[in-house]
Amino acid sequence: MTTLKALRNTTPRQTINTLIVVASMIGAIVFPWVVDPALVGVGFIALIYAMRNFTWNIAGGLVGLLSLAHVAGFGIGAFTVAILTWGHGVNVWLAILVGMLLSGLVGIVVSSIMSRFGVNAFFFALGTAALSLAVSGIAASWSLTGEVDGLQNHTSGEGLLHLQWFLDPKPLYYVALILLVVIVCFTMWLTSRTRFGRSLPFIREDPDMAASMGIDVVRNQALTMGLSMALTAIPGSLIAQYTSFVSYESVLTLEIGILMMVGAIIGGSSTLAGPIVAGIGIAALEEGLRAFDVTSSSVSSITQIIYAAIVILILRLGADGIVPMWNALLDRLFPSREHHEVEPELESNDKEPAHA
Amino acid sequence: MLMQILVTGLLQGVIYALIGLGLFLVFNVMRVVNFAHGYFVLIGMYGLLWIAPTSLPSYLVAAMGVALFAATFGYVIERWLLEFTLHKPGHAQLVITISLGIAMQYFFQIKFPEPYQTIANPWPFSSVEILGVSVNSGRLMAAVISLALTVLISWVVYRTSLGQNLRACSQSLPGAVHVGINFPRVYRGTFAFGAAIAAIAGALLIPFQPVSPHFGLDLTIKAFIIVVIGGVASIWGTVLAGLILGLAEAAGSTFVSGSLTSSVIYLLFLLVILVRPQGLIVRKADFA
Amino acid sequence: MLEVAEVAKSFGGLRVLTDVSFTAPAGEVTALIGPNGAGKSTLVNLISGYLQPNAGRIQLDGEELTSRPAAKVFKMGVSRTFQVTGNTAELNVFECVAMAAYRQSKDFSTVNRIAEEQLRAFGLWRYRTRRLGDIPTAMVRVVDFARGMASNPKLLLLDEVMAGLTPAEVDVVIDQVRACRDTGVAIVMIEHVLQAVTALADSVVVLNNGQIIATGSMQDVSRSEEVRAAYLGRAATT
Ligand SMILES: Nc1ncnc2c1ncn2[C@@H]1O[C@H](COP(=O)(O)OP(=O)(O)O)[C@@H](O)[C@H]1O
Ligand SMILES: [Mg+2]
Repeated sequence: MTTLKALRNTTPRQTINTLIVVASMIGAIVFPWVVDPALVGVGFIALIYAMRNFTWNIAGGLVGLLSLAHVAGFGIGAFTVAILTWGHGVNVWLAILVGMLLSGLVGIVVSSIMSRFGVNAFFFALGTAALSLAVSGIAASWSLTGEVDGLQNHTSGEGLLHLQWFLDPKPLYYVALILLVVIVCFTMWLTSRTRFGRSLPFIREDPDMAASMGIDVVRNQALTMGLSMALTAIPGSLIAQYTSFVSYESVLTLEIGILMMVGAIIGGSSTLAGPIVAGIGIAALEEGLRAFDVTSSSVSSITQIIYAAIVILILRLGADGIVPMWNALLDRLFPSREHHEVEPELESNDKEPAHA
Repeated sequence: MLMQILVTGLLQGVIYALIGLGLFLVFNVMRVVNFAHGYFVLIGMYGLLWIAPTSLPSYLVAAMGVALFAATFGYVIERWLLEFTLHKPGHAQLVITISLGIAMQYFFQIKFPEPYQTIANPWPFSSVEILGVSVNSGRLMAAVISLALTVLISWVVYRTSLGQNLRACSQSLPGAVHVGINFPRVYRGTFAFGAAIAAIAGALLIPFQPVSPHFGLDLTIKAFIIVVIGGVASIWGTVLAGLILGLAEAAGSTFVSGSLTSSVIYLLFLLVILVRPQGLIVRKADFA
Repeated sequence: MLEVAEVAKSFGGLRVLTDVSFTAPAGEVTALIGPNGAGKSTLVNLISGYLQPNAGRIQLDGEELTSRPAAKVFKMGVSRTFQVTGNTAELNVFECVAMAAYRQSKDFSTVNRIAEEQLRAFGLWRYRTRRLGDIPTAMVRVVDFARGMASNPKLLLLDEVMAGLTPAEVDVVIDQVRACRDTGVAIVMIEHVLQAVTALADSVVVLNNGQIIATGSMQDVSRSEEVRAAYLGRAATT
């Protein structure tokens, strides 16, 4: 979104943000070649976190559906690859598509049912949490999903077709990067160019008003939830290929679902960049803590605590998240020309813009 | 086997009822959706694990100590993190309490890396026979004390002026303000009280229930199940729902694996949310 | 032409509208006036499908609007403004108008062009990148009006769009209402700004306590005793 708008009419903020986006793209591309090989894996995990937060935010931020069902989509993505590809030799890309389809279907059904019964935001969160816990429990006791022991990858195919490289983590890193870029570009296109995508903020802010503008609220909510969950299956599949191991504990705990939500909110769920920034941030934080010689089991615990503390602080201060705060800072440092365009005689009864 | 289900189910159900009661009060009086409630139970469990009492008197004192601590903690949380979200739109409250719970979960994870610990049974007898079923003394006493506390709490809510204030705030906040009730104080008190009840339940559980940090989330959801099924009408709905949950779990786990039982319960709960978001057990009068 | 026939609505036990019938012909401005709480906004909510009536029928050019959902009613050509804008502060001005333009076209650039035309016509172009929450509240209703126009409606329902505007701004909006009427749109306008009612209304419908107590030209209704008692008298004293 930032880039598209920047092309149309540039304010200093948009110019700076465009530069940052370009710089971080270049940084992401050269990253595996300039860092220690061990850090490439960290980069991959960062991309997975970013993708997870970003795809959650399509439903959670753009339409305001506080869903805890997304971890089910993440798990479905991982287990579909494990069952179909590792267990039955189906091509991994096909398995990813099947996972997306299944996960998307769950999203559509959940959202449709919830709307059908007029469930409010709190019961939506609670109900989707219950659903995820149920799915998790089923995965833990079903032989198909390996019960508590999980499933192990014993396939030996290597290369892009098999989405598996045994020694070098770089190719998988690039696959994740490309998929993330594709997902982001697709979402940008959807939200700025299509009627469906442009209708989403109206549904989030005021469903009644949205309906009176001809927007099919229930249908669009369901489609967004479906799309969002279908895309969440992708990082699930990728992490399965990366670790070659999937169990209900590694991909299907409600905690993961909560982290997606918290991550998107920390970054700023009203923006497209926010969830990505937060995802990369937490991976960096984890790695930074490791450098401080914290035992590995504590690392993730400490990052979760820091994560939770940050989101509480952000909400307590009434802020919108990292990226909106950054934008506000830029607007304050470089007031946009927009303001001066306003004709002087009308400016008097004009409220100051919130950011000034 | 039927007796086995009945006895263990009811005993567990009474404790669930106590946990649900804390959430019920907070939910009903303040309309706060506290996703950290289950983690307040963990305060009780881990608190006692940390103190590790060795005799009955020290156990009882420790239980009261963790309750007091949880109450203070709850008070501070309400005052600093929740008060500003009350009666405001948006999801701040939900996300804050979830995040608080997560922070507590991982705090316990770091502090107590050894999973599934219990404390030594503080009660002077080890087990008794009820209706031909042998029951662990910790479980029995936990149920007995929970029942006593439940009765005591309902007496406070329905028979004292303190309870009258609670009910007034629950029924109509403008009305309560009109008759001069200091509602922020009532709110803080209620939240602290809810946290203390949860911690006591935790203290009662720990002699026979090995603890793990992820229990917090399970217990939160279970407490919500109880409150949603019990409805907002009266405390007795909550108690009944607690008993139903205890029985359902006991029955389920005799036939299938534990995690599958919870799956079924969660799915049933989803159904309840959809068809009766106002609760299954509804009485005419609103919490009066 | 909008035809409202014997419409009734109550909330719980409270009867807000009883037996309301009137017509609003195409190419004319029908002003709906009456004291606060008379049920005017409720009537707009019923026509736009936001609420469903307990009795009666609402038709637009012979097509049934009754018990159609709001989105469908919009597609059939009914556009409305909101008297109270709830949680719309975050919405972007340009997007608001563009979204409504999708009734006319599915094409991205056409939709944007229509939105631009409407914003310029209403003198709102300079607000295009703002959030609704950042512009003066009175202007939010003008954006609403522009939004209604962008959908090229058959019937436009304006709920107090001029409240709080400066006389100069009222003139801009009056010109827009005229221009819109001249394209053959039926306009139902709830308005307290008498300057606007006198300038625009082809006919006036007076609502009091949920019932129509007078219809006719502005001159006719202002002569009616009942109207003076119910509305003009009270308006003069308050
Ligand atoms: N959703 C509602 N629920 C209950 N009463 C309502 C509702 N909407 C409006 N009313 C009542 O209906 C009456 C008419 O309101 P309204 O149509 O807004 O009047 P007007 O727009 O003429 O000022 C008022 O008494 C108001 O309190
Ligand atoms: Mg009105």
